[in-house]
Amino acid sequence: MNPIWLITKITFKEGIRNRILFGITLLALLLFASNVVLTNLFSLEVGKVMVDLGFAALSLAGLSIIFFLGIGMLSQDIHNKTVYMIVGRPVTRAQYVMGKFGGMTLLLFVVMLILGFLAMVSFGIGSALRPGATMPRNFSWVSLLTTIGFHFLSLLIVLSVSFFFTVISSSIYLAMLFTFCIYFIGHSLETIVKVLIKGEFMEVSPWYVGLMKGMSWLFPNLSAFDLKANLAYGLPYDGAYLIWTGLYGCAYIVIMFLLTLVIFKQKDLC
Amino acid sequence: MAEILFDHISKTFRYGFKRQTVLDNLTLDIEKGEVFGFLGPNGAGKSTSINIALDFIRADSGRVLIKGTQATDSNSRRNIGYMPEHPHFYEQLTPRELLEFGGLTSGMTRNDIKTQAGIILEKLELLPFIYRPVRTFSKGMKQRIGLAQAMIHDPEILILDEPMSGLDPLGRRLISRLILEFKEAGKTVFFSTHILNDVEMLCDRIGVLHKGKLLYCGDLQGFQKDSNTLEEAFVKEITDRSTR
Repeated sequence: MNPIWLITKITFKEGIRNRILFGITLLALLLFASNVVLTNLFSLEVGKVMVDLGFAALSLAGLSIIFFLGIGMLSQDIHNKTVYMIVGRPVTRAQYVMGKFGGMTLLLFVVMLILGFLAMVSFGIGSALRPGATMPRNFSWVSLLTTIGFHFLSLLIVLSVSFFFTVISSSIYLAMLFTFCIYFIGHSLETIVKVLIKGEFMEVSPWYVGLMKGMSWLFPNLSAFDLKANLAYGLPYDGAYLIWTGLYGCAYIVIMFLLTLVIFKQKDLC
Repeated sequence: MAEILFDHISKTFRYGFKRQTVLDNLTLDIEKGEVFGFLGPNGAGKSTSINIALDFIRADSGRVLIKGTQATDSNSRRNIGYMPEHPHFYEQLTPRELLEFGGLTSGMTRNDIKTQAGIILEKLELLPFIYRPVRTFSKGMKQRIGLAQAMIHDPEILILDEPMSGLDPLGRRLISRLILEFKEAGKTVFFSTHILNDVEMLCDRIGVLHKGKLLYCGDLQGFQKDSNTLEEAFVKEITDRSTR
């Protein structure tokens, strides 16, 4: 049997039985429950509020899984030497990293699927409990799944970044810190670059604008995967945009993954 | 052809701006069917040597061959069963799942794994715990699971890093018995230790390592010819080298 699939399976099993995951799921459930309550506090754009709160819960759960389970498990493997029980077998390091990534991807996928469904249930309950409240305009299952799919892709980018930093850094906290910084930059850089290019509020040297543009090529543009506004306001989805953004996300994951492999292959596991 | 050959292995670790040589031109061969004990004080380089043989770390120079295959080739580990000093597992998994993983990665079928796992777990007195997550196990039980995972695919070579470390006398006796059974089956065992009683009881040959250098390689009689006990010979060899 393929070692990658075997490692994927044990990573998934280890993750799904971890108590941290129960905590994360419980937190997400509380947020969904609060979605039902909080939407009653708004008189306008209830649909948008529901979508925002639902996706906030999804983001929090996804990121918690990456930070506490993804980084935690990989870091434990390397620093506690659990990895010996795997690479002490006829398994290459590349197969190990691919298997770990596969296992975490599967875990994220299953959790997103379950939480996505629960988000829908909370939308439904929220609408039913509030007279006059409706689902977002032009709502369709396809648009919801597209939005969740792109959200999932952005989480996979963060996961690939977290693998890279876990492999290069000697501490789990450093890996978490670096990954969080990339996540934060990835969500804000596009807006900053747009503001700088427009130059409406400040005058900035072209050199600085160039630097920020350069950085936007280096860091992942995570805000590009955020399609919540389309879902909440019923805006149309641009097919070409979705394809190019999807390809960009996949390419970024592959590049980060290859960098991780190159470093992990050279690393002394001691 | 040697089962395991360390061919002029050197390794240096960097700690900040300092460099420390952990292995210095180590050349050593372990023959088929022998139990080879790798002795040395803490920090001598025993675990580093084993880690290089399993490709966990890379030597600065030299090479390790396992049955003629470079240790850097993952296929060289097909014939090896390995147990680290402190085995760590995926704690949520059960022994059954861990052994299944070990067997499948080594090319066994599920039926063979089931049969072999039953035999090994019976020997290691772990059969009643096969469906319990490893996180509930004591240190000794984890050590035995580590050994079961190393032996599940009936390897030709067993590499054990301090296998008796932290075990009670019963656990030590159990592992000693398995090592001897392994030897009787014509297989090779390479293990590091500083428990000299085990060496006297189990080993055909020993290698004594100190500060990364091999001080002695040969049979036990040759090593302790001028001393009454192995311990005396060992302490004398190490202190002599340290004061030189």
